Parts: sequence; C-alpha cells; structure tokens
Amino acid sequence: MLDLSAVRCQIDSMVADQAEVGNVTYEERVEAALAQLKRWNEDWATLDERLAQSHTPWQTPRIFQGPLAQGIAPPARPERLSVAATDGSQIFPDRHEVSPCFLLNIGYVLLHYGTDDRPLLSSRPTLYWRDEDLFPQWGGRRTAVNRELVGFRRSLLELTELAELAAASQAAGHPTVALTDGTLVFWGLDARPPDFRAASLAALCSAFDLLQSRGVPIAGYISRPGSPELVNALRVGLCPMDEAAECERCPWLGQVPPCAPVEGVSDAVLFRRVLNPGERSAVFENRSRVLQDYGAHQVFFFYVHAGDEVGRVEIPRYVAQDKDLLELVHGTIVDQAAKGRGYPVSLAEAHERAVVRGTDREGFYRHLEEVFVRHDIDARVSRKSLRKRTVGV
Amino acid sequence: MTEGEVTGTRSLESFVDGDGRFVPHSRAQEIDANAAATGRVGEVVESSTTTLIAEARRLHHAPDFGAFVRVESDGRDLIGVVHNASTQSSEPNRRPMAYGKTEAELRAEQPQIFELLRTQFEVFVLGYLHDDSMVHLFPPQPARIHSFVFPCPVEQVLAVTEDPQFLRSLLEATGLPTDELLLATLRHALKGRADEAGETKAGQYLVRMGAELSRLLRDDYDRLSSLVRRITSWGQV
Amino acid sequence: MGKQNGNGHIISTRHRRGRVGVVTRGSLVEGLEMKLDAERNVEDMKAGKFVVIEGDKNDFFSMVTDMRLDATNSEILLHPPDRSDELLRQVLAGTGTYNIVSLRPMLMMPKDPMSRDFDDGPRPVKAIPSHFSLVQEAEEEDVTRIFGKEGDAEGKYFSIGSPLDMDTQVCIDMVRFAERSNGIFGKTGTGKSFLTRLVLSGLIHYDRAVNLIFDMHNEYGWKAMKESSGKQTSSFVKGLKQLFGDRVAIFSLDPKSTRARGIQPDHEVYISFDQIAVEDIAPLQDELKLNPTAVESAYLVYAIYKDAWLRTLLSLEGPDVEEFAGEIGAHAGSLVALHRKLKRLENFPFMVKKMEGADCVDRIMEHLDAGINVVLEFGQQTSMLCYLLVANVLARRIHETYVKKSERFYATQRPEDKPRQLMITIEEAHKFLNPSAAKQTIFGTIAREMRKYYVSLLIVDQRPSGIDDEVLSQIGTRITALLNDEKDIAAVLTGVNGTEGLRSVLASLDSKQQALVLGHAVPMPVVIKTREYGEEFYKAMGAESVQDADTRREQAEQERELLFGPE
Repeated sequence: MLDLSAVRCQIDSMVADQAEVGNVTYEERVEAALAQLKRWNEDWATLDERLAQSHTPWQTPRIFQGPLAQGIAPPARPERLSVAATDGSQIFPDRHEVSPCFLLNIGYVLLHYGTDDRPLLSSRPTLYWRDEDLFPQWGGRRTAVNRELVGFRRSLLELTELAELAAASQAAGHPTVALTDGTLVFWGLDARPPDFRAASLAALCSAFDLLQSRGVPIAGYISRPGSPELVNALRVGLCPMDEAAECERCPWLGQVPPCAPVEGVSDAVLFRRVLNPGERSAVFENRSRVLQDYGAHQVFFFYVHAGDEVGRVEIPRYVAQDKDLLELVHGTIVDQAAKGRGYPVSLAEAHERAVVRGTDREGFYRHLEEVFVRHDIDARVSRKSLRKRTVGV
Repeated sequence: MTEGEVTGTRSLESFVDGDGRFVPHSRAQEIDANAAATGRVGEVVESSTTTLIAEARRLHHAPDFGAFVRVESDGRDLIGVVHNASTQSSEPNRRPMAYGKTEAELRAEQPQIFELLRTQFEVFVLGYLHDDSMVHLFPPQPARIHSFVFPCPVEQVLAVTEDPQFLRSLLEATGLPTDELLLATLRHALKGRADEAGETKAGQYLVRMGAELSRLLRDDYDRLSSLVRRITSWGQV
Repeated sequence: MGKQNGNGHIISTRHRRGRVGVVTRGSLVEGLEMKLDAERNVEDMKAGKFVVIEGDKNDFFSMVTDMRLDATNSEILLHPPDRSDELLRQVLAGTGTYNIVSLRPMLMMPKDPMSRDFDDGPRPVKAIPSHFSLVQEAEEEDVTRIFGKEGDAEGKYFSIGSPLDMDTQVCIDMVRFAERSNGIFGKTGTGKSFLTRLVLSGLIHYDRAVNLIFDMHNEYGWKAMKESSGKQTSSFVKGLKQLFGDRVAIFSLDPKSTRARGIQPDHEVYISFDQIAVEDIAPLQDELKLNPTAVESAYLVYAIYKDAWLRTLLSLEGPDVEEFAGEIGAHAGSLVALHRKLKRLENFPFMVKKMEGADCVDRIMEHLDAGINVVLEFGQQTSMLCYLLVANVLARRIHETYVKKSERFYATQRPEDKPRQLMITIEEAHKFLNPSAAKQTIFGTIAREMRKYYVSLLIVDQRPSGIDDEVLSQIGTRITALLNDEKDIAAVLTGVNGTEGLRSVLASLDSKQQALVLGHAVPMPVVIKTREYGEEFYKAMGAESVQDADTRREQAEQERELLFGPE
C-alpha cells in the first residue's frame, strides 16, 4: 500500500523546484513562450533553418508549414465519411500463472457518417503460446518474452490491423480516415536488435504504403501530450548563438541561459493560448532518431484544440504533404472529438472493444486451468499468483 | 493473425468477431430482411422454468406489454406473455447518457451508440402447446438459450386465452406487475374476439373472464372491482 | 338415449333441457339448497315452482320453497356496483354474488326402469341426492308421470290446472278424492267458488260421486257473476246445471228468488217444524246465543211431545211459556229465552207447519240414488241461522238414510245395494265444524266417520283455523288459495306429511287463480294455476258453448222461417 501522505511533501518540493527554475513563475514562462511564438509567427522559415542546423540535447522538430501563432480553422466534415480506428490490449505473460502464454486483443471500430450503414464494433484476441513467440530469437539471442516486447507487438499489430481495416473499408466504397491512439513513432525500436527493428519497420512501412496507395490518411491522436518539442524549438530561437544553437558549446553553463525563460512549458499548454476550439496549429516534422529508418514515411505532427484539451496529432508525410488529406484529418479529428466529448469517439470505442479487464483476465486463467486439468496437464500455479487471487483476512 | 506485411486484400467481414453481430451494411440488411421474414422478434438469452429473457431482434422493438409470444425450443412451442421490456447498454460498465439530440440526429452523428444498446424483454411462461391446444402447465424443460421468440398469431391467442386458467397463473406468479399485466393480456385476448360477430362475443368473453377473476379475487373485492371498472372503461376508448 | 348401469340395463337418461342449478347442501329433514346458475334470473324462481333434481340413481321431484341472495364477501355489499357498472354486475353474478334456492323434495323415482322399485311409481323421499346433482326444470313428462293425465283408461284423472310457468296439466286422482272428505280454503275473494265448481264438475263429469251442494250464495246451480270479465264474452260463468243439464237438479228454499234470476227450480223445499229435532237446535247455540240449559229444556219438551215439540213450543205465547216450563219441569228463564229465539224460525218462508207433498229429504234421496246431483239454493235466505239450520236438518236426515243403506249393503253384499258415494258441499264450514260445534253437528260426525257410510264432505272455508283439529286431520285433500293468517296456514297444513317449507309457498300465492293442492288425491303437494273456467272447459265437460247455442238458435230460426214463413 502506498502511503500518500508521506509522499505529498516530497511532491510539493518537486513542483516548487520545477516552477522556480530561473526564478520565474510558470505563468511568466508561458507568456514568454507565447511571445516567442508570436515572434516567429511569420518568420518561421528562418527558425526552421536554424533548427535544421542546431544540435541540442533535447528534441526539436522541423517546421513544415506555418504560421506559428495562429490557429487554422477546421474545414467542414465531408457529407460522407467513415472513420476506422483500432486499439489494443493484452494479457502479459505471467510465469506465476498456469501457463506462460500471452494474449493480444485488438479492438476494431468502423463508424460511418452520412449513411445509415451500421458501424463495425468488434474485437479479436490472439493467443501466443508457441515457442517462437514465448522465446523469440532476435539479434542472435533467444530470450523469454517480456512485457516490453509484448507491448511492441501489440502496438505494431494495432497499426497493421488498422491499415487492413481502413483499406477494406475504402475498398467497400467508404471514404475512410484511419485513426490510432498514441504516437506513430516507435521510440523503443531504437534499442532493439537490428533484425527486430527491421522486421517491425517493414511491417509498419507496409501499413503506411498500403494506406498511401489507397489514398486513405492515417493519424495518431495523443491526448494530454506532454511534449515540449516546440518550446524546445523556441529555445533554439532564443539562443543568441550565431547561425545555430550548439548546446555542447553553450557559453552559459552554470548560469541561467537565455533559453531558460520558456523552459518547462509544454507544447500543449502553449497552444492552448493560441488555438480556439477546433483550430489546429502549424505542421511540424518529428526528428526522433528512430524515424531515420522509417524511410519515406517520416512522421509529422500538429496540435489541435479538441474542445476540452489540446491534443497532438501525428501523421505520415503523405498526409502532411497532401492539403486535402491534411484537412480531412483535421476536420475528422475535431468532429470525432466533439462527438466523443473531448476525445475522439472512435478511439474511445476502440479502446472499449480492446480493453481486457481484471475479470476478463481472471476468467481467462481460470478457463486455462480447467482445460489443463481436463487434459491432465500439470496445472501448477505459483503461490504468489494464488495469493494475488484470493487474499484472506 | 500475425503482424507482418499487410496485404490490403482482406474484406470487412474478416474483421467481424466471434458472435457475428456486427456485419457490413449490405450483409446486415440481408440478414435483417431474412430475420424479418421469419417473423421472429427475439432470441432467448436467459431461461428458467417460469420466465425467460429474450433480446429483441430490433432495438426498441420488443413485443407489446402483455402480448402473447411463442418460443420454439426443443421441438416444443412454449407460450408466454411479455411483461417487462427494457433497453440498456450491452456493455456492463457503460451507461447511456443524454446527448440532447433527436434519434435521427444520433443515428447520423453517433451511430456506435445504437450498437451498444439492446432491448430485452421478459416473458412469463404460461404453458406450452400440445397439438395446437394449450396446456396450462410449466413446461417440463425451460426454453433453450438462443431459441427464437415469435409473436403469437390471432388464432393462437384465441386458443391460449379461451381457458381462464392463464389468469390464475398470472395472479399466482410473484414479481410481476400483476394487475397491469392482467389487463394488458385481456386486451390482447379481446382483439381476435372483437372482430368476429361484433360486440357480444367480446362482451361475453369479458364476463366469463371477469367471473373467473371474481373467484380468484374472492377475498379482495376492492381489487376486483378496480380491475373490472378499468376493463369497462375500455369500451369508451 | 340410455346408458348402462351396473346390471347392464339401459337406464333412461332422458336429458332435460332446462338446467337451473346444482344442489349444494341440505338434509333430508330440512330440505335441500341449490345454487342457481349464473345465467338464470332469480326472478324466475317462484315459490311453489316444480323442479327435478337428477340424482345418480333417482330423480327427485321437488318444489321451490325459498330464495335467498348472498355474497361471498361482505365488501361487495358495502360497495355495491352502480347501475352503470354492468360488467361488474355480470362478473359478480354467480361468483361473488349468488342466489340460493331452497328446495323441498317431495317424491323420488328410480331412474333405472329395471329396478324393482320402478313400477311403484314415485314414492316418498327417503334419500337425498349427492352434492352437485343437477337441478332441472320439470317437463311435461315429469308432471304426467306423477300426476297422471286426463283421458286415461280408468277415467280417474281430472285436470285442475297447470304447474307454475308450465303449460301441462296437473291432475287429481278422482277416486282418491271422492274417498275422503276434502277442503277448499283461501282468503275471501281468492276464487274458492271457482275451485269448488271445478272440482264438482270433475266429480260429476267422471261420475265419481253424487253431490249434494248447500249453495248458500246461489253460485253453483245456474250462472254466477265473475268478478272481472276478462276475455270471456259474458261476465257470467256457467253453473253446474248449465254444464250438466239433467244430471243436476236445483232445489230451492226460496223459489221466488230463484225464479227472479231466470231459473226454474226443479223442486221447492219446505221444512215442517216436525222435521226439526232437538239435535238440530244444538248447533245453533252460538248463532242464537242460547245457553246449554236451553237445549236441555228443549229435550224436556221433546220428552213429552216428541216430534211435535217445536210446534208445541212455538204455539205458546208470552206468559204461557213460563207456565209451560213449570209444567214440564224446565227452567223457566231458559225456556223463555229458547222460545223467544226459536220464534225467529217462524219467519222463514220455507218453514211450514205441516208438510204438503213429499218430504224434501225423500225427494233429495231419490235424486241422489238416481245419480242426480242436487244443488240446494238458499235464494234470499242467506242468514247464517237459516243456513245452519237447513244444512243440519237435511244432512242429518240424509246421513241417517245412508247409514241404513250401508248397513244393509254390508249385510247383503249385493252390488245393487251398494250406496252411491255422496259428497256434501258446505261453505262457511268453520261455523259447522268449530271445536265446539264439531262434536255436536252431523258434519263433525260425517267427517270423523270417513267413508264408512259412503258420505264425505267438501268443506269450503276462509278460516280453516276455526275448524276443529280432529276434523282437519280427516280432510284428505286440501286445495288452498292464498292465506295470510299464520293460524290458518298452520291449520291447512295439519295432518299432512312433508309440508315443511310450504308455509312460505302458501303465503306467496297470487290472490287469484293460484292454489296449492296437497293431500290424498295428489302424490305430492303442487302449486297450480287453476284451470280456466271458460269456453274450453265447458266444451271439455260436454256442454254447449255460447257460440254453439247461438248457432242452434239461428238454425232454429231459419227452420221456423222455412216452415212458417217470415214473421
């Protein structure tokens, strides 16, 4: 049990500490960031140049399309539109349970607007129990599968299935937009072995290829984004160094640097000041390292005021570069968020379809036990698991 | 399904999950039309000797309160009356909330809502058919889950309601809105009778049923007279 | 239409059509109760109605004696439905509210024709039907089976009416009727005269008895007034002579009055003082307000003067009487009183000092022997004194004659010596047969003797409670119209078995044309609507109808014209 009261004081210190970096309050930082944003509003190309040249320890984007400090109104949603969305959930492998297998559950949602076609709301679970799944061999090594790997597989599966779903929908005659929850950028792939990375990216890119070839836009929606990428870009903008910021050679080490005033503000907070409900920001390009392997499908992003919050929308290049597709994504997300009372309804439904609840999990393992027993397989459950299940007084 | 190269060749049907509920539009319409042609109005989802719960084939289209229905199960036709219809979310954790829009608007804007709602109705079992005549006993076996529920045609209603035994069954059951249900079933029972030979047949039937009620409610004249007066007021409706 | 019983015999299971209800409770002693079917209207159940309870082995012929309304729940009675709550009333009928009808089984009859009791016909009730036995309306066949049908081979059944709400005949057994004394009772104005006429017609038509009728109100001989005209063409009804012609003779005490009414009496009746015995004076005590010593005084006179005692006594005047009393040793005061009161007799026009011509009694006897019925009209002589005197005098003499004839017949056993059964009809019978008079009058004697001497009474009275109990118990058949008085009702029902429950029936009869018949001549008590005394009845009795008479007259006119030419 967590003793919340014991942690509370520590949390207070932490917050105070963060809020007072450079002796400036949070609100002042936001104002400063806003001012900077406005400064580069028109002249964003210059900033973009600078960004291209700079080397900072914190991540910065490129600016694809301005203006920076103005919101762009959403277009009207087209008469006929279908929104495809997937989400995933899992039952992680648990060596305390009767079997070390794991399960991925993908939820599918296909909502049609402007017709009276019935929506598709379903889910498909897949059980992984074979040797090659439980003990995958990557990078020449065979390891027991862990939560991280399962997570990867799940995220990947969400995307590939989304692509199939959207493509099938388009083929059936519905103008479709594909939405997914979360980022399109698989950060963790970085640390993975090369063959793993290659396999994953191949799958990913084939998904994007497919959608691009069908003219179906795909977007990832991130709720409550905490990224400070753009604020980082403004820091670069503040840096007085010539041509580009080189933090390795920062002359203000040990002091409060000129880029400090905006530090600590997140993009979302910033754009909250700029965007009206429904409006989107400029489009930026993500420069995560892993994206180098994404080939043609670089990931771009923008922020959008979804009604209750500012969310972050990530799109592949083919969407960013196509004005119609970009608008379509913008309009769809705003409409979806309005329907979903602040969060895109299709994603919420997909989540509901996918989620594996505690009771589901319990039922799954109980059934496994029964089947094992029936087939005389040794159904031994570790004591820890048993303790977890029925805790006496 | 493994993650790997996407093919882009799958059909929408392939995304349907195990119970086949959610199907592409064209298929859905075809299935719906087929089901409509069979005349079935629901499918049993819970069953006991005395009652069963069925899910209505179409949302918001449960049979009328007090209507007579037939369940084909195990080679036998069970007969019962509908007494409780409700529409609820089919997901245990999710409840409908107000949107402030008309149904037409919701169907356009939030089509997924209607997938998550289902209409159920409860049926109190009165007995079963044996060679076209009604046996007023609980059936030996309860209806099987997933049996289909059909509305009873007029001739069947006449046969079932000819013997006033069904009134006794309704009165003795617990957990039913008994008086309301009695009146509703009688109204349904009257339909077939009023059309033929005019008023007298219906009138005679009511007197006969009323007399049975009088016997059953011998100790509760207040309730009897209230019921009979309500029946009398139908004549003015 | 029969089913087999245990013996394999076919039982007649005639299905009656008029289902009324089912038996719910009861006992042999107290009678049975039936729940009326909900479809039947309780207003159709009348006291005295004839129904049949179909038991398993027997049919029980029963009479409705009482009806009752009841409800299962007193709530219903506290909050009765409105007139407008038609459905509620109909629903409650038979379920919450119901009608109980009390039945009195009178006769039972086995259903199986092969059972050994079947041929005995209906018998007294010794058993009761089981629960929920069906109760049906009686049908014509039932009535006929019990009461017989007119026109039978032996000629013993005479129809006197029909049961309530039915069209069939109810017959009385004339043989049994004539065997005993009988009574016709009812309040004033309830039609006793009609009943009497009916019964007498039956006796005459079927020749079951020869009748001597003391017609105090001149009702029976020739035509009489009807109280209301109804559908008849005339407001008169035919008398016995009109119906039976030569078989009836009219004797008149008041020939002038008789002739004034357009009738020629067959004989004029005169009584001489010598014909009056002391026994004839005794019944007049109440009427004349004599005390007992007066009668004794009369005896004293008789002792000396024998038959001429009355003549002698009445020839005295004033103070002579006292003197006379002293002579014979009678109490002066009472003899004087006696004399004074008996003087009244001299005023009667039919009283003569000396008889001229034949003795009227002999004349009457001649007629009776010949089988001719005698109606003795009183004309204007309607005083009670006259009635009592004449009836007693004549009856006593006739009875004496009959006794002699009977004894002779017992001795010789020859059929030609057998006296004809005589029935004497008297009205205001309670004057003759009250407890005190009954011991003294000849009528009391006749009543008690039953049929020993082939004489019986037909008493007509509106106050049967005034009649001596012993006499009442000898009355074989009673035909009773409406009576109200509890005592009268009790009197009528004295001495007859199985009359529980009939009190209410008696009290509920219509004031006209309804009567209860019970006793010796009927197997069970039955309420009847009396037979119409009109054209159809006349025809049945063999008399001419008015139309017939008119036709004959017309025809006679035509023939006369033919013979003698027009006038």
